[in-house]
Amino acid sequence: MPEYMLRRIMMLAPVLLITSFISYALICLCPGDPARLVLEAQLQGTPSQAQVNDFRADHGLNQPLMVQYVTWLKKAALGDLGKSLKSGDDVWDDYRARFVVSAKLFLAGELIAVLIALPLGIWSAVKANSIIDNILRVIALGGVSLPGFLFGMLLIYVCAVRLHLLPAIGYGKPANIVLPALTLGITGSMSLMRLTRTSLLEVLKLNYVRTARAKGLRERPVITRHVLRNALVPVITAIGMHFGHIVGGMAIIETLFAWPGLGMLLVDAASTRDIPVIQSFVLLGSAFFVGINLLIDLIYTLLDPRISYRAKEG
Amino acid sequence: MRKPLLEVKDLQIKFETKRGTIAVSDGVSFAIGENETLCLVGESGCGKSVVAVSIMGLLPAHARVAGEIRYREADLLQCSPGEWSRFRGREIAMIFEQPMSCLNPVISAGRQIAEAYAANNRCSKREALAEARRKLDEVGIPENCFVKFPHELSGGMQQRVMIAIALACRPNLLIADEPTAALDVTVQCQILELLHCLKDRYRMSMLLITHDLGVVAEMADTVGVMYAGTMMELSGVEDFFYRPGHPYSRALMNVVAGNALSPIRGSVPHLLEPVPGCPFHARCVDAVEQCRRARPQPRIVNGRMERCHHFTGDNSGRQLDQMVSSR
Repeated sequence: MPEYMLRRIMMLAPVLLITSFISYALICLCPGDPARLVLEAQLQGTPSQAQVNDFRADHGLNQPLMVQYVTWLKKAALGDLGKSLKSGDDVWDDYRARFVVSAKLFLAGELIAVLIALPLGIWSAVKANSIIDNILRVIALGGVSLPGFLFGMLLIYVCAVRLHLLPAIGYGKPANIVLPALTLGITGSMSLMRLTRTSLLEVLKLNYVRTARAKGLRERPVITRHVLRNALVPVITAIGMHFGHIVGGMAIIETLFAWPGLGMLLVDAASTRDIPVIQSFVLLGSAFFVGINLLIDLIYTLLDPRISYRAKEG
Repeated sequence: MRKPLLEVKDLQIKFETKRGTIAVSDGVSFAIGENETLCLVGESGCGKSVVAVSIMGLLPAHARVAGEIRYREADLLQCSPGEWSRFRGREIAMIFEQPMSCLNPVISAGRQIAEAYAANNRCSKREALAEARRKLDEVGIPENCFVKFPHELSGGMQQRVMIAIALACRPNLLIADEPTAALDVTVQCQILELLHCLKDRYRMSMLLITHDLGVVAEMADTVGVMYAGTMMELSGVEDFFYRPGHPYSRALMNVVAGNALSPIRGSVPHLLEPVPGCPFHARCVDAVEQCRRARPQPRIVNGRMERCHHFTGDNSGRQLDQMVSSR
């Protein structure tokens, strides 16, 4: 097992190298000069040519691209992610703080999604092809097709603008999290519900479920003990993959609700070509993603005794 | 005559599919007495397994069942799903072919046996586990396999675990659907011997489905021959082997008698397009015009049932001694 984990972690190196290079190249291909864009934002006006030249010299932006990339890479490899061009803040500190903010929203949203999707998905599968199943399937199909931001706007309109129940935007008060979390949770639950239903129906057809019934078990223990544990493996995979949303995947929702998480950080950084921030974002995001995948693979071994990562003997 | 343990009368099973209704079982009747073994034989796809599963009440939802399945005093087809589940495991238990797919891959062998015991008995978890250990020993599995998962056991071991599950609550009737089909020959022998010995110890009745006429000779008291969802012949094992009545039974036996294989020409008719007349007529060597037009009704002579226009009850000229003595 440790061997397997080590191998997986070593695979992280090429992944990070390739993604960081691609993102560097993409920033440089984008129209717009980082020096001008950052200075415009700082000065609230058009900078003079002298100011632009100074800025470039200070931040090494006048060097060839490969030199810039390698310089950044060397520093990053030693753990120094640099400072934001725009604010001058330490990128790592900023990233950590924003990560926590995003994680709060994500966890709240995902909790809602799971609480909706699992019971309804199971219900739908157990009563397959009944009226209730058909209603739930139509709702799920509609929900999957509806973009999250549109649903968010609907929620803002109904709950904040019309009924004045909850604040539409902001961060800090407990009430602030309700609308963005509901948006994430409800839109996220739809695909999860479909997955739960399909996966359950797949397992319900299997022979060992027939054996469980042949033992004289009632329907409830058949579902909870025999079907669920096997059917939930793909669902847990999907939930695990959702964790990737923390590192930037919720940009639209965060922007909509002015939730100062990683998604908003990315949008800000991208609009001013804030190279150190964007690069750190890609680097840490890929590492996080690979870590999540590894974690899911380890959870598999707990759920299914047939999966083991021990080195084969002989 | 003593009341039989299980009595199936005029069982009609139809599957509603998008392409039409399929009659998988058409008027199947048989009875199994206490401590008796009935073997169902016939080619693949003639409805043997469906009949067996229908006795357990585990047919898929799109199956339509009519007729009568009587277990002792109870008419199982009139039972609610909850009532029927009280017979499963406790009174009637079943083992299937391909034990690998019939065991839950994520639960250890011991726990799956204990669960069967706990499902039908008021007992603590510890009692159930202790009972499971005894059962495991009884089917000849070493103690250390108790905590193993199905994929860590061989095919024969898996089938033994299935048998232990089926016998956990001392059922009166054991249904075995080709229990040895997926196993290799030496293991087949062991499993059959085990079943034979457990049947005597528990004084069980047995419904055994098999392709293997050798198994039939070994285990059966009564033999039922099914073809295309119809029971063609139902007779005592001696009659079946020494005086096979139905042309289909004789054809089946010809396949394995002698040195060379002589398969029955043609194939089983598709159940979506029911054939008029006798379902077997297209492949029957004795078929006459009447067989193509009229469906033969079951006729009972001297305690044996046959569905054949030629059947008179006298088949003394059709002995197959060499077939039985070669076994």
